[in-house]
Amino acid sequence: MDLGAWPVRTFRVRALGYSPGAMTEDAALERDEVLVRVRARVLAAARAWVSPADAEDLAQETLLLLSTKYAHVSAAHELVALGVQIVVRKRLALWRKAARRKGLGETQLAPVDRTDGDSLDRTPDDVPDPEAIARDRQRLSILVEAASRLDGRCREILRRKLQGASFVEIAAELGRPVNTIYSWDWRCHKRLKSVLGDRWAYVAGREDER
Amino acid sequence: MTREAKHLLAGYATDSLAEAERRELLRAALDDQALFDALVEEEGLRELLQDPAARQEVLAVLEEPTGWERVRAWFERPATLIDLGAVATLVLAALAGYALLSIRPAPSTRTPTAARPMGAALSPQHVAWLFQLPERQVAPAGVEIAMRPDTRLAPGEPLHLRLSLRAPARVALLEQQADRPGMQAWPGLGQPPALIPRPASGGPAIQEVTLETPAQEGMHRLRLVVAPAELDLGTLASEALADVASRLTIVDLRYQVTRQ
Repeated sequence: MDLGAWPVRTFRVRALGYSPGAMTEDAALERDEVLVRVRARVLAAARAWVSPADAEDLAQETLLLLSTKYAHVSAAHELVALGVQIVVRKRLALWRKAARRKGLGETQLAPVDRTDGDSLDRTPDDVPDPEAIARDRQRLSILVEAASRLDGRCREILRRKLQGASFVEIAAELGRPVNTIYSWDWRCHKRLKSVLGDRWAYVAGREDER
Repeated sequence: MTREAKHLLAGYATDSLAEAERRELLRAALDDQALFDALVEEEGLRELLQDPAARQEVLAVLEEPTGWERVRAWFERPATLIDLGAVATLVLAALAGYALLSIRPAPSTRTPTAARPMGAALSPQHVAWLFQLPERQVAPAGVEIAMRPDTRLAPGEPLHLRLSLRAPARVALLEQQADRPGMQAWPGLGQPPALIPRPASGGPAIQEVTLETPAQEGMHRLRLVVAPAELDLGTLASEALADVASRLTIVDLRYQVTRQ
């Protein structure tokens, strides 16, 4: 990795909700270290879905985006969040592209094509199409149906979360320790996935797992 | 994957984490592949719920009360006049039902049985021959005047009789007034003896019979004749009657008719 080739960082940190402050050389080094580890995480995750070569490409493209488009981001946790978002979108784009080609007669998963007009640094959501909108509507209706089947505590916790309450606020409202609310919420999330069953992957946007 | 960080995943999907919680989760994922994979798995749901309209749609269905909540809310709301009226109606209906059940007489072990004439009618010769037989109890049977302590009655007075016997059986009640020849009193003239079925209670069969006392004063006799159910006396020729005499139960009741 040619760290010296990375662009000079500009700090749009306030707009992204980060603590503003000048990035020191130590911070820059730390960022490099974070990027190396994010890349390793992305590569390991991608190997579960695509070939090793495609996984390598996908990880490299993610790193490239983090290094260029998001060069101003320095906080480790934000880089992880961005890494997750980028890899999920790229995975979806890759699958849709392969599906389109398969529909045109090609049966093999196409390698990542950096020269394609559907460039990987443009995520699928940047250009919503009617098909994607319809898909999102379907995902939402499945989720709504599953949520309607929750009851009792799970229904209450999910409702408060969607109303914008934090765990601390929910704990205060229910008169329970916040750690109890974490546990309940985790179990309720598993309950929601259980209600969704095979549809969970589709609702979570992993269309290639259907 | 640490326990605490894993428990934050559901909050990440709904963007419910405080900044410190979010930082803790994402920072942990940097060193934990399983946690990173879990974040990737939740990302689609998080993006879906980032749309305020989608979030509102899920919220709307969660704010609808469940069936159980509707029932509980109905019971928790203040009572209205309609509620009180409904409760009062239910109480009245329950009381009325209880009263009906209480007024209805309890089923007796001596429930009157449904007798019906069956077979051939007895001829005057059959009746005369039956009056010649002595009283005998082959099967338990009895006849008594109901609702009266004595056997003295006025002419033309209703005579309520209660027959009790072991059923099934064929039964006839014969009557002999003073010096007149005997005749069939029940079932009516020209009808065959009544076939009395076995009562459902399993006890003795009870048959209520109402006659009218004759106008002629004096001592009168009623003769209860009980034959096995399969024995149709009316079909037997006079010479065959002697062969079945030992299978008949004969019980007499005498009463006095006198002008008060």
